[in-house]
Amino acid sequence: MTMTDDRIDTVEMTDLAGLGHTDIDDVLDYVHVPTAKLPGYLDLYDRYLRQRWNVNDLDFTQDRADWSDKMNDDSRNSFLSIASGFHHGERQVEAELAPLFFGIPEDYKVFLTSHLEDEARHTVFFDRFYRDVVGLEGDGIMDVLDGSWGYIQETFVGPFGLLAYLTDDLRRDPYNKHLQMKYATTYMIWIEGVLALSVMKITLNYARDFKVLPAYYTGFTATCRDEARHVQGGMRFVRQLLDEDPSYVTDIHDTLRTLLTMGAARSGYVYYEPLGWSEERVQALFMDQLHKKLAMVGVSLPADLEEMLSMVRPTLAGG
Amino acid sequence: MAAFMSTQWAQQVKAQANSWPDAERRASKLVDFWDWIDMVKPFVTGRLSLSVRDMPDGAEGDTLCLEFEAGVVTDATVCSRAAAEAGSAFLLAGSYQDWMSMLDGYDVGKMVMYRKLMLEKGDTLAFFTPAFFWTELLAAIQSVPAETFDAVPA
Repeated sequence: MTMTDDRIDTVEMTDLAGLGHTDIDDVLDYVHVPTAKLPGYLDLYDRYLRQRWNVNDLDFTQDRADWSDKMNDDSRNSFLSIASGFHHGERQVEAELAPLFFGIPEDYKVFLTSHLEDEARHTVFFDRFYRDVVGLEGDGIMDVLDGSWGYIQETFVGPFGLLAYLTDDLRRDPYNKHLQMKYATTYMIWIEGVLALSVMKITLNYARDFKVLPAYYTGFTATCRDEARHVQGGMRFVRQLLDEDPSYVTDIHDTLRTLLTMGAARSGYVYYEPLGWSEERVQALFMDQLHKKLAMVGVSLPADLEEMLSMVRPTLAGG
Repeated sequence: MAAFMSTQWAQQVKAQANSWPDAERRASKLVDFWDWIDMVKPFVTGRLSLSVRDMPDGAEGDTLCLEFEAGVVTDATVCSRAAAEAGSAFLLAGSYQDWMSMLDGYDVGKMVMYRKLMLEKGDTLAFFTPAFFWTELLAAIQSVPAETFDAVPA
């Protein structure tokens, strides 16, 4: 589906309060511009300056009341099973971004400063949600993260551990373009482009349809719009590397082969039903999101990866 | 109780890894998960070394060398990192303090995700393809009681 200019303008120009009334599906569609229209890095930076929001403007008072009065144990547990992936995922993508700065194009460096600041703000957004709404306590960010760790699937360490170790590889060899491609595939294509953008929809649709958690809806929709910029910047970077040397596509495929192998494992169930979803629908979202990201960079999946994608267990959220 | 990084401890780690998971661990996860472990096991062959960067004096060595054949530990020894590294497909290393935290029950997933154990030799994608085989191995190591050293040298 192609977005109309009106809908694009609405998503692009709306302020934080207005995002509370913006349809999350419009924000998700907004990510997928055709390759030829991928914005430049400085255009994305300009967009950041206009779209930046203040996490401390959110008032979670109504969310706290909804959490205790309008949600039941099943919906709270399902919600936390998904939201905790973002709670930890946002921290991980914040903490693992810095080594990419060294070896990327100059304009991308400027945009990446905004990407890093976004991720820090998203980390604080979830920290506030878990403190002010869920009721976790702690002296710092890590205390609260430790408090929600019990909701995290053990398989979470697959993509996020891979990202941590690729970050180390990149720290040691920041100009290695094979490493940059593996890193971008893990971070921008899979974690942000597939895991995050697929699963964001679930808690946001729930909040919208059941008319609960208005500050969460507003802040997380703003987060989603921020992720759109990150993914578009990342796809431009991947496209640029492929233009330099088309053989880097092997690094995309090799990285996806590892990610999809890990993605076929699950250690526990995530019960999507109390939020109005099923595992099959989430899996279809995963497949759709990956195909859309690869279309943005002009890459197709070989048959073995298509088959592996169909076996992915959708139990993880992104960052 | 065997001393940490001793031959006796290494043999206990080998036995534990090869009989892993115990019934309690198996019951704590979906059957799917163990099926996945069985699927990747045949591809786990070669040496994994696990090293302590700042091992206190008094231990037999600073590195546990595990030789794998299709996911089975065929040999387990303790030696120096220098002796272990050349033949290793993968080498993970961490500080003594972080090793002690793991033996004390710190989450093995966090050991990886927060880079308390770092991959200092080996291909990262190849290491992560059987990722949960390795985290289960860390859980098996964690479950072997070990006598530890009091202090980290300054």
